[in-house]
Amino acid sequence: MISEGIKSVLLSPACLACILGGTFIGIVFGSVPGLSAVMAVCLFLPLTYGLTAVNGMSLLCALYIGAISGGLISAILLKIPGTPSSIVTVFDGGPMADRGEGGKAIGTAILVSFIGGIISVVALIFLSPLLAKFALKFTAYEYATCIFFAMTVIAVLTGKQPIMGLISAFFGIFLSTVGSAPLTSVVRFAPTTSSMAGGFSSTTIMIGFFAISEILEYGFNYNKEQKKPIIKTAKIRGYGISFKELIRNTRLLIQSTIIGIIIGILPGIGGNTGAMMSYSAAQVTSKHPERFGKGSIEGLIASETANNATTGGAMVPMLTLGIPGSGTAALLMSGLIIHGVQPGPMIFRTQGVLMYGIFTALALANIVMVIMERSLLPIFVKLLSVPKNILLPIITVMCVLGCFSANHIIFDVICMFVFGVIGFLMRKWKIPISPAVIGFVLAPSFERYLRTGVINTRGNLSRLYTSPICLVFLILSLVFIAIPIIRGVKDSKARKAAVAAGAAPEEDEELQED
Amino acid sequence: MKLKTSKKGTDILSSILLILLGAFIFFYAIRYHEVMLTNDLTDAFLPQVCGGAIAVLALVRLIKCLLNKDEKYCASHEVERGEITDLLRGLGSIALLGAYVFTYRNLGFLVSTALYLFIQLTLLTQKGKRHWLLTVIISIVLPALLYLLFVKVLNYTLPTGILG
Repeated sequence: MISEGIKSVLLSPACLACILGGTFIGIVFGSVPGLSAVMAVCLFLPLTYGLTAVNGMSLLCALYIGAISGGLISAILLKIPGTPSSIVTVFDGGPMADRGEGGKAIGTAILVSFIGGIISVVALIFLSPLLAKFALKFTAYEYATCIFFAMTVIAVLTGKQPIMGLISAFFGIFLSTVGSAPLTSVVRFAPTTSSMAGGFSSTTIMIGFFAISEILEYGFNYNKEQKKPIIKTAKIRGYGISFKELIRNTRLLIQSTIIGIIIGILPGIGGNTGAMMSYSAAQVTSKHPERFGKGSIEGLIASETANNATTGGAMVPMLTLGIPGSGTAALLMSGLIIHGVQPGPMIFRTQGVLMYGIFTALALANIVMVIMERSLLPIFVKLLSVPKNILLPIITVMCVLGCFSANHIIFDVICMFVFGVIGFLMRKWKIPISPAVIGFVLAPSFERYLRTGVINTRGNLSRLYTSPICLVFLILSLVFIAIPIIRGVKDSKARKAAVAAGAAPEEDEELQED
Repeated sequence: MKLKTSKKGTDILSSILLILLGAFIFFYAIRYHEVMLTNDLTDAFLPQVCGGAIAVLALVRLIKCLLNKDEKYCASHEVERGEITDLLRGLGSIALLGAYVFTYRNLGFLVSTALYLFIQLTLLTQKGKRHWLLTVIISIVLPALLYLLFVKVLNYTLPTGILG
């Protein structure tokens, strides 16, 4: 059965063409801000009607892999996350590009994406039933504490400025409450008949906060920007990261892959949660936590390995339990159902050949992705040499197009503009933007699971500390919140002492440190 | 009269605005307290936590700002001429983007995008360094290429506006 499945992909030129084309289109969708994996899979789903089951699923899987990975390109080069999964990639990929290491950052991200992706496929093949059983142990409270744990990345990002970081995070969480409430569908903070009743989309928030605010800031700092020297991106060999450096980060790669796979299998929380959790864990376990957010290669590895490792994991509940964990997984499941395949515990017995065909396609799509993105790397890096006064208006047009294309409503485009202005004001007032975006992305699931948990247990919160899984997540959350804050306070004291002794220059931006 | 700004002034203003925002969220959310499901935390729970937290945190920040007597932090600096030009350029960019977004449907993708690109590229390039030909080419060719890609290849619908 296994060899038949593998052969059905490798010996079929049509299937190979689907994987090749799908990966390329996926990369394009992932790299353009506003276009996402869901849109890519949705667009090509009708096309699979006319294809065989294995060809159709190979095309959809390749689109999925390409789009998740493609998000790293705009996240690093433009500091705009192409997908929610690559929000964390911006934190270190962006600063690396700023100091002329854009090529190295992209190369490394591509390579670790491949490693994370391929290991997750192997895990999918051998551990599917076991992983599915583990996912079933999660009730609403376990999910809520798991998402709360992912939110600890906010502490990592705001170690030095806890007050401003928390204000930003709570503002993001508030934005997520606008629109229809979970469980009751009561419309909050919006007229019930307006487009706002559906809430804000994560695309408009991400593009507004990250992209539009930067474009507006460029206009306000035009003279300063003109005086900045043009950064030359260093040429890279291979994937930019040396074999030695990769080996040095083996522990981090394994840690991030495991986190990605585990988070991937939990329905409802996807690549973004995995990447954030992995980033927090990497910072806490790193020997150089102070470099995180300033262009740390470890931060980049943690984010990109984990978000691609979720791709294999996300297939587990979809295939073995028939539960689609994300929008993309739901579309992939539709692809299976279109071809008369019913996902569930019996799928390996009834559709074994197709299953192993899908696994082969996933592995192959990862291989195609790593080769294709590496060969396109010189073109990506060229983007950095385009003058900002030309590049930024073009990006704006792409952002508007991406926002409009998601739902075909002008409301999303207007929201993008409004959040761009709010993001610009936040930058001006030194309020970090990232916590707001993270709060916005994670809060809806957190609220839904917490409230479901409270209702299911009739208001009994004791499960939060009697359930081993909840307890582990809560303890880890406390540790992960405390460590960056303690480190931040220590650093701040050390710096102040150094300034008092005249050993270090006083930094302007830290005058109003929290 | 010359414009003057100080870091302390900006921080105090932003803190007050954040306190007002937090208080608004907190009190506005009271209307969602109605219990619709037994044992539920209600729809008001999360917004009130957010509003309360924003107001309290901003208040702490305001107090810290008021107590901070650091000379460099309190000193006001005169806004220079270059900064005023930048301010106008920034405000111009906001107005232009706003106009682009609000006319996107009525003028259509092609016309609004071409106009936006032309004006924005001109606004963000210094007077002596403007390449008119390049600006015109980008303003016309890019929207056309994007239109072809999205509408003809990917089958997306884009507003046609006055050309429709």
